[in-house]
Amino acid sequence: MTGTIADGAAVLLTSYWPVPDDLYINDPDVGARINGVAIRNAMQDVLDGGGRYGLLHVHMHLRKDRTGMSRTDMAEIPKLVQSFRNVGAKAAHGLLILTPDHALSLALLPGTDSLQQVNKIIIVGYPTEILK
Amino acid sequence: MSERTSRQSFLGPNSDHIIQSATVGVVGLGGGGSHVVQQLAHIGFQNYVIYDHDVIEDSNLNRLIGGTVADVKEKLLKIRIAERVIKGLQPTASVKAVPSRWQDDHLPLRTCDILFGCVDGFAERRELEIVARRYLIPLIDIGMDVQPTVEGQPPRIGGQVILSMPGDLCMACLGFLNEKTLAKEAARYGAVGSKPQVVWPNGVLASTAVGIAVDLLTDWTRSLRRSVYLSYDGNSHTMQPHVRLQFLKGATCSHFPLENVGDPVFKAL
Repeated sequence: MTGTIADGAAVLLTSYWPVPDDLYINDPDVGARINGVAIRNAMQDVLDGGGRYGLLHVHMHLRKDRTGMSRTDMAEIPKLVQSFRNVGAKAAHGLLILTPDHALSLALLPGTDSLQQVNKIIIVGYPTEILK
Repeated sequence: MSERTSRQSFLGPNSDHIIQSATVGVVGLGGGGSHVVQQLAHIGFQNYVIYDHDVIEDSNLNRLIGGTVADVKEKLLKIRIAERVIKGLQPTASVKAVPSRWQDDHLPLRTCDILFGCVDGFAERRELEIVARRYLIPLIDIGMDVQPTVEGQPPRIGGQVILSMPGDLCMACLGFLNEKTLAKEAARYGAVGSKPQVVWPNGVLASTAVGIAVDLLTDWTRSLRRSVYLSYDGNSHTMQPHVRLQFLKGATCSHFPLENVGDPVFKAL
């Protein structure tokens, strides 16, 4: 998967690591919430990558139309992304929200202070899908 | 679906949007690439990145689509001819025209969602595939050749269309690029001489490549699910899957691991 940002930067995603079921917290206020171990594991993966690899937090919204960040996403995910930045400042980190037919992604690029919207997401494969 | 594209509505209800959203790159605007851009413009593509640094010559007029006698007199860049063809069909299209070798200014390539390689030579094909793999861009390569045969026999026209998809088989896996052909080409480097080229094989190959691209983006056949390697026989006027494919079922690419995407970086030892 490729995401392009207005200034010509591209974020390339090549692998997906699911969070094991036992690292979720039972929280009735949200659809799903991961625990501190899951976050530390993710941070460790970034650290082990030696700054070469970034991480995008991926989750799904089940509404079949264009999506936005929920209030919980807005409150929690920037902090999560900052945690990834703390252990891997040279790589891009961010979030990817999928719906059945759209996607939204924000990325914190190296050397920048805020999340930027990814304006084009391409799912490379058979078929190759462009989400704009 | 607009009236203009109503005859291609079978591509799907969102096909206009898909085609208009895509950025297509065409490297090389000679015999093959000039066909490709013309067809992309007819289909309705709106975003182009095109590369060529050559000017049109008299010997190109037997095959360069859109080229005219006046263009030869003016020594017009091939890229300007391609731009004219595109704009003639899609006046509002965005065309990033790069009149230099793509290796000298490759950043615009990264913005492409799909790439057409219409280049000469094996080494340049390999270089283009490396860039396409690094930035996860599907690459469709086309090429043709006319080979002399034994005396008394007609020459043979051959060609290929290859879809090199990131994560799937590459041109080396498919056996099209190998050390032997690269070494042979390197040994000929600098040798003067013009290769035979004609318009119709380029047209067949370019049309097939464009068809693959449209299928890849719209999924209208719902059957394109693996790398493509088609072999063209210009003497029998046929195109068929290359024989090597039957030995590659289930094979994976070892030349371009996915962890090697992105800009190359120095690694501390």
